[in-house]
Amino acid sequence: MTQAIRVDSRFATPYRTAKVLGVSKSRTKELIELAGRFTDRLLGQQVARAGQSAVNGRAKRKSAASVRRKRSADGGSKISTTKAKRAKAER
Amino acid sequence: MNLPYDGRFENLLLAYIAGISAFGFAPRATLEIPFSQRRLERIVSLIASSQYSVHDLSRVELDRNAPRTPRFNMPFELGLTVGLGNSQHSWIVCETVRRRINKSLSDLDGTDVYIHDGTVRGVFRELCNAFVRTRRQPSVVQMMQIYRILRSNFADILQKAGARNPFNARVFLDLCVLASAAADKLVSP
Repeated sequence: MTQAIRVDSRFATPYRTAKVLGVSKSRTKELIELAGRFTDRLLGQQVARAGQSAVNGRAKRKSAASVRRKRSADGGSKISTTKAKRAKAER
Repeated sequence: MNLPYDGRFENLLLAYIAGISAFGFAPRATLEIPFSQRRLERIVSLIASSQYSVHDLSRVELDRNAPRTPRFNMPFELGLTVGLGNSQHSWIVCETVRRRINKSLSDLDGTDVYIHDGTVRGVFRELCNAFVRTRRQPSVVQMMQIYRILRSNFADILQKAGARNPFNARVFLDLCVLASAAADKLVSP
């Protein structure tokens, strides 16, 4: 079993990395903008995916409830649940 | 980073830059140092100024160019790191093939060696095994995202530097800053 090295040091910002490596300010700015174009797209996709899965979850719950209401409205195909059976028995 | 500088190692160099940047480190390598008489002194000062070092001893076989020789630079620089005896400096050793190091460098018996199988994902997995951050711990997925950003911009960076491979000071520095910028955004606090 390998023993991991615990890292407590501060997370290097791109400016700090550029300073340590001696990269010019203008080139650093260019590279940060370049990275930003890709990371913004990636983060945007992640947010959209998270939003989409939340909407899908809500849509699924909503459609199940509406199906149950519709069926009970016709009277013919009422879905019986455990809770309903228990209530009927108590009556 | 103490890595082999050969064409077959290009993917893994990008993987190391991505993975190391994802941990919030500023990657350093002897690629930054121009070839000169004072090179060895500068290598020693580079090791001394770093808190952590990663030594990849994958290239122990003979190279293709005549006269065919193994690469001694990586084990030599590992020796310098150990020889400096700095208690504040932590180092790890990586290899491609399991148990090969027991034969190639048996002095390291008893040291944990991280086997990355020569793959990008393997490098990320082993870096995650080797380092644990108390805050902003990166995932392999985030490292892969940073790697893909480096890959997407690699040709452009090479062209701007007029270079053919990443084993060039300017290309290396650009890749490190790009990876650091991507890591700063993707690895959430």
